[in-house]
Amino acid sequence: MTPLSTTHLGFFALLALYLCAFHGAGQASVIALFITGVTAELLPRILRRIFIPELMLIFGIAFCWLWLIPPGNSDAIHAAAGMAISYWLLVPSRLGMLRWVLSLVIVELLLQSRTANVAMSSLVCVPIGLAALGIDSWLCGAISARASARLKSQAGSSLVRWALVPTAVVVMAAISAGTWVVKEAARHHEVTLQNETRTNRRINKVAGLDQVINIGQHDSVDRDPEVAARLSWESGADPSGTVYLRAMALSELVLDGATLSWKADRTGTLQEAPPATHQPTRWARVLRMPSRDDVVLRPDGGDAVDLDGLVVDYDGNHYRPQLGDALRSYRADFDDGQLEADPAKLLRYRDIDPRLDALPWNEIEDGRWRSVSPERAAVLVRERLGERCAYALKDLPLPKPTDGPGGVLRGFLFSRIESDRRGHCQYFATAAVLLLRRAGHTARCVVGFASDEVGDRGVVFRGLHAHAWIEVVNAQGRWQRFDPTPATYIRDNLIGVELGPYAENANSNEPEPQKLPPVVKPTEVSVEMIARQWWPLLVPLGLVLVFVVILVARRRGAQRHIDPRLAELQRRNDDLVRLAMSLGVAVTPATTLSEVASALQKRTGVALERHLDAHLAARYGNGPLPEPWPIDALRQGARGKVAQSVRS
Amino acid sequence: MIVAPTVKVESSVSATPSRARFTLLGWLVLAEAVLLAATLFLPSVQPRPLGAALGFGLLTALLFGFWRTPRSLLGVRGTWVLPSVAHAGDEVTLGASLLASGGAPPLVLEAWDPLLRRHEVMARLTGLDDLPTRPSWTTRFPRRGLNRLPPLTARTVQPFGLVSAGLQIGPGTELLVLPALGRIRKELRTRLNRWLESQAITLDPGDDELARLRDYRPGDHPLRIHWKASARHRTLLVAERHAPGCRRLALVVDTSTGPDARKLERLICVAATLVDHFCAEGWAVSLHGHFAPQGVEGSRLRLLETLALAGAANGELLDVIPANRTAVVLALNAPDVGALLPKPLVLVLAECEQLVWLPRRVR
Repeated sequence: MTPLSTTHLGFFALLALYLCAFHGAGQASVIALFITGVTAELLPRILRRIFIPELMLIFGIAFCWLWLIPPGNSDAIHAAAGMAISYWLLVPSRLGMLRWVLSLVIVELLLQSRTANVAMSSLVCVPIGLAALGIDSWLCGAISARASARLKSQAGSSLVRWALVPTAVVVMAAISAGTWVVKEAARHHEVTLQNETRTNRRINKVAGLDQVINIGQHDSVDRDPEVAARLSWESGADPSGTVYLRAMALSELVLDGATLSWKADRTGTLQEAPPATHQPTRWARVLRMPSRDDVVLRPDGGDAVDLDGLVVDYDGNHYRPQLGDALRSYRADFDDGQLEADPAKLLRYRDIDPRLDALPWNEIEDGRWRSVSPERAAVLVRERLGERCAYALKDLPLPKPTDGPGGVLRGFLFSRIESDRRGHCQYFATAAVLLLRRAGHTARCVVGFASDEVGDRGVVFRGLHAHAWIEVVNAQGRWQRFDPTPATYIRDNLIGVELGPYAENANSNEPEPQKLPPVVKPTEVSVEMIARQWWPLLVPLGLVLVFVVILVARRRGAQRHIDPRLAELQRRNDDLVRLAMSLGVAVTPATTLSEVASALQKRTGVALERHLDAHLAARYGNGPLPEPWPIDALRQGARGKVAQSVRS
Repeated sequence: MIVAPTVKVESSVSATPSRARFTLLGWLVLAEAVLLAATLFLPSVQPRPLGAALGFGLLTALLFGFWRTPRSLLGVRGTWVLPSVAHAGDEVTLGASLLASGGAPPLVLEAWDPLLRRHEVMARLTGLDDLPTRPSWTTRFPRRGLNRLPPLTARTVQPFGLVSAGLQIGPGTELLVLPALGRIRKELRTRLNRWLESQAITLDPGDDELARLRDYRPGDHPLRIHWKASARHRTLLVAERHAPGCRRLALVVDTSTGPDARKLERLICVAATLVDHFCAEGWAVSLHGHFAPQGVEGSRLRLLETLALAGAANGELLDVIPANRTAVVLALNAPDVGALLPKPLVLVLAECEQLVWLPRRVR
């Protein structure tokens, strides 16, 4: 193993570790490609000359693609692609290729940074990239020197002093300053969004409803009395009790330290919405106030919406580009039904982060929940939560970092102090979904509005009506709504809230709804869509292309300066030197061609004066191109001498 | 063959490193760093701009390189290592003796290439320490005369390969390149021997008196060694006597060749070849011409150095031919030497080119 191979394999292993840690779904393919790479690097040189390592990689990637990468799993594809590119760069080892790892790191960081909740630990890429740059520079200097000059080699301390120490200094500066900058930028971004929320009236209308649930980050809930939506109908009986206006189902639970958040799964791009599964018998008109999202609000239970250009995500949530730009009105299914559950997608709704296993679930769980039907289990869970926890909106206990992953639930569900077991609807919904999933049932969180302000053929939904509930797949394979929050929540929400000018259900000053423009370009939704497209890769690819073009141009420029006659002479000269080295003649950079010829003449008995004169005349006297050195004759002469010495 | 190197220039003083500049990779990384840092201002597509941290890291690496790279060469010292003799057109080995008091990173050594007439990378070194490192390389000097060798330059891109800085080592040096040597063909050798024989018999009576002692040269007959004098001087000395056919010869070179410099070079090459031949035969040669009106006597090396520095000059050839001396005249055209005694041997360039094998470069 040469130092170059060792270094490259070290970085190869480092990249594999990183990809396994941060793209766990692709572990199998990463490990398979890593084994392929190491095997290829250890192949004898004769096999590497006929491109066996490259063939191994092609077969390795094909194998991973067919058997190891789950279709549609972007994490696994991401990891396998990263490993395959690393393989091409680092195996078999070629000088100067390590610096390309920096490009990989840049792409990785840009991809990782697309989501708001990415862990800061992804910054482990930064030392990898900078170390690749520093060590590659040293390798290029040291190894090319050894190859060309054969002078005394420096000790390993040279690597430490001229590569590792500078890299460590720069990495420390980059990580300490970079982490601070990234955190400040993210905080500034959040503050800016909040300011926009406060100052922009259009956005303020949906305070309390977000596309992500964050639990444990606020000790109180902002209750906005402004109207967010109205629902009206012309025929049929008025609904009794609470009316639910659905916004989004959220399936993915993310643990960020002690806090929890739910978000919709949009790993794939948004697809065009399929036709509604249920033809409504009764329509309601939804009047939706301007907001900063394009989520389609609809009465819970139906999926038919009278809008064109709808797109849908993995969880079945509907979006309409430019819907939130202005006051909109549209028709939606008002039948009190249940959505059908797609059996192919149900696995995701049973996932539980294994880090939550550390919580003392046995204090609250009941073995019966596993054996009863999902809807019965949901009722039992609701009862258990109602007995154990209380509904509150203000002065909620904040989780401590020492509580561990999901620590906010430790306080809400398992605290010995009763006053700590308080929370609002998101706490109840989250706890209910987790308990049901642990019992083996399929459940998810849903956000939207729940209002009991039912008037004459209409319902008003205000910001303070923002609510979270759950859905369970019942025995009929349909999503059934359950609200685990104690029923007093609607009354509690109104306590201490001054409705002021928004007290009237109908507002005569309200502008007329605007017609939706035809679908031209997604707006808010497009941010995610764009971020998941391939075109952001154009910037690094463009840089790489420019770099390659410059390199090629420089190389061509350099070749232009070389006289082809001299190049041919040099080639023939190299042939002779190689032959001399293979015959055991000591050749150093200071050895002249005359010495080489003389040594070969002695060893083989072939006269080379004429060739030497012709060569020197051509090289230094502008003479004609000489005939090639008699390589074959020299070889035969050498063999003859050897045989002669053996005979003697 | 490789001539044993001798250090011609003693240790040099340290110089100031040249200004650091970006390498190609450095420019690319600068562009990448700026773009990555700019992701701070794209919160819509980079809500948590981790790339900015790498961008700052790359900028830090560039700044660190600007500060560190030139300083890493400050301890480097070095000298040229030159050959004792170098002939135009022959392969010679040049070298350098380098050391660094505080160590040095991997670097490349750039030196003047007389053939290509530009600075070239002559050696790549894994680093330097307190003990001298002696890289060497072969080259050829295409022309005779005094060659000015500019200072050596050490150049490094460590760390990170983003910034390049160089350091000139020493003040440079000079090397006197002797004329190219040809080979005398058999016809000329025979002609010279016959002419010298006739000269010794007829016009240069000579005697058996000891003329002078000179250093022993390879090829001298052992019987000619003056053992007593050698014992006294603790070195081998050879006695030269005023005897018929012995050993004093004047070589006159006509350098008034007009504007054709190539003819002058050929003439000088023939002269150097003759000097080499006569000295090897044991003759005491003196050199005459407009470049040395009073004549130059001395060792072979001194005569070749004189020829190395000879240039074109105008004047009457007969004025520089010494009287009462056995002389060989090299000229472009045959002068009228009928009145001179003893009559010199006149060789014109045209016939010299037939009688002397000249290196192809001179031809």
